[in-house]
Amino acid sequence: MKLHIPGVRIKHTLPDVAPVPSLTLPLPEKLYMPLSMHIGAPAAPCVSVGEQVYKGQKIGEARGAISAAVHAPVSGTVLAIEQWPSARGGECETVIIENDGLETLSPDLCPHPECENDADALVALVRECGIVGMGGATFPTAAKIDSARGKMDTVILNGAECEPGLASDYAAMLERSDALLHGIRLLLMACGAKSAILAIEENKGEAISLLSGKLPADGSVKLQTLPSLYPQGGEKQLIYNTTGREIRSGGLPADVGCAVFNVETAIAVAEAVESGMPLIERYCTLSGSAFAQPKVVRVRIGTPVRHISEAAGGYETAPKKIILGGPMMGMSVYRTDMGVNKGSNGILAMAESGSESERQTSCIRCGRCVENCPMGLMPNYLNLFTRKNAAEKLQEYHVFDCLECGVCAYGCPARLPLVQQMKLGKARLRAWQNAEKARKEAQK
Amino acid sequence: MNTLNAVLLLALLGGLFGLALSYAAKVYEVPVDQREERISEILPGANCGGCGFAGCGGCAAAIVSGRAPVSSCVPGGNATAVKVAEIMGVEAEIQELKVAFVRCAGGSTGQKYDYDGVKDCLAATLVGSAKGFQLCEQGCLGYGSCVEACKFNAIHIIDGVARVDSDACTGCGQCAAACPKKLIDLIPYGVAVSIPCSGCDKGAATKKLCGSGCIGCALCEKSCGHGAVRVIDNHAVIDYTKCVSCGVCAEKCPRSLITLDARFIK
Repeated sequence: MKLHIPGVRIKHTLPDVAPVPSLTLPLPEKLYMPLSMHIGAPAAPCVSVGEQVYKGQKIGEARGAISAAVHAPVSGTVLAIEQWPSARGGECETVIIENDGLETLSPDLCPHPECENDADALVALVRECGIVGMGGATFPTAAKIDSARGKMDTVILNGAECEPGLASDYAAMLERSDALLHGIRLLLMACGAKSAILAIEENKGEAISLLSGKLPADGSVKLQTLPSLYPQGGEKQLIYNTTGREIRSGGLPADVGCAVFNVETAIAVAEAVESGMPLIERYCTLSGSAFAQPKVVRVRIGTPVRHISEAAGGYETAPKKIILGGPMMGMSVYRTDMGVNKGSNGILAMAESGSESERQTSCIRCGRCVENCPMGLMPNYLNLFTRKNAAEKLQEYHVFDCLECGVCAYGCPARLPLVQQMKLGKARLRAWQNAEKARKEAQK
Repeated sequence: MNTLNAVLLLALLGGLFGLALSYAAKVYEVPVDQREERISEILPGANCGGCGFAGCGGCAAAIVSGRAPVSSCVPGGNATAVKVAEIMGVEAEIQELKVAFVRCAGGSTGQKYDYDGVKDCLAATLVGSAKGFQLCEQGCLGYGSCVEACKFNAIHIIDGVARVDSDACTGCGQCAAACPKKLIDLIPYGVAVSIPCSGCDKGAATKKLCGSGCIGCALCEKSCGHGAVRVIDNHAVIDYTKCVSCGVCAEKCPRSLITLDARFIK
């Protein structure tokens, strides 16, 4: 049909994961609910220490339009509200809940049939239920719908699995296919779009055959099979590969009439309407050489990483490195007592650190990073400008367009830490922009 | 005859072009403030950026246009300020000479995790812990973002910690701006005592984390006859507006942390 945006076929160092049946884990004694587990302002706590909370009760109120509410994943008592290490890096305000094991549901939860055909009511419900993009980027879904209502014709459902080696989206599509199709219908209605594209990578054969048999008869939902390339699940890449539309630098999907939702997000929307249950649970893939067997588990948000790995059968060998997220974009963590968040689609435990820093050599200008970059950037130059702290050049070469997918570093024969240089470059450019702004204001 | 013609023709052409050029120079003259050029000559020419303008030329232009005070050039110090003030026809404010000072003496006993990413302080705080990999969360990371920022070769990494050569330092503050841990302060030049620690842990914890850190015992605070030393956030801080550089606190410090510069003891 058309050229695909560059990407790489990642050699699977991770074993293939059987997506189903997913494992439901025993619940932990304590859950750590970060109030900042989405893009935007952190939620404001609306419970106090010592208070009894029910499963599904709101414990954090969204602060502003780009923010998301946080709900208690279990019933129990609020032990503390304090700064705690977060899976997104650094520390954030966290509500620590002691589980009473009773799973008492909040009396406020009820089905919302009125939302089936009312876009405004649905957006309000999505906001109330704290639903965010579950592919990992965690952008508040209500804000996404709001910003693009009426401006778009196509809703794209991301079933591409954002990273190689994970099977969380795959499991969600297989186990919750009815909820997924319900969610697609709701999102179409809320966005005012005419058609939906369900984009699935070709290596997820079971999901393709299951869902293609269930598509609605009116043809509003099309299933599109995509090659298993990385980063196929990136928003801009997915839009280009399904519709051929390109978004200019700094633009939004709504500019080209599209909105992209992860399949698990659509399921969460359907669940909110069907039972009123807010977002408190997600699929998470456990993989890596330290685990005896890779598996997909259902986890409550806020479950400590340590509890998940122990409850899922523990490690085979002591891990040297633990990564939250996928092998390409995940962040390695140094503590296992932090709770997983709404974007935690994987936990990887590696028996060896796998670090290549000792093999680092100099750039040989082979251009492989330029060839592979799905955003059309020049990581070789960005690396140089970052090292030289040339902020203006970083801006000129669009460092902010980098999505840190890691394809450049993956293919680099010199093993340069290109992704971290991009992160550093962004930080340096941001600092320079702030300094420029302050200087211009001072000169006025 | 031919030779004479050629010489005359060339002389004539030369004269005409000369006249045209001198006419153009008058008509199209770009007015340059002489003061700007003279100030540019006086400024150190390191283009350090300490003034907040793009290089020394930018600073000179800002001074002439009144957007910046005559004492804008920090590295140039009072001597430069006086000369610039003379050109501008104003009185220079005499500023206290300042130097950078790193509030960490090193000695962290270990690391929270192995970090083997980009060897840059800012990069190290962007992954893993936002406070870096050292056990002491306030400590210097030792990758030398400040060294890179210094245009005067006045700060170096010695035994894993940034140290300032106070005689080479011009107090421009670029290192302080580059430090992601905000560990570098500007202190007056010529003081006898300084306390290189900013650890916020309690004494017992500090002893475990760091071989040299301040344990907050407050012996310095008690011994100071001028009320210049205070223990704030579990580490001692000197108020240089009160300090008289007697050096008594340094003698009392049980950790031998307070550094004494014998040249400046009064």
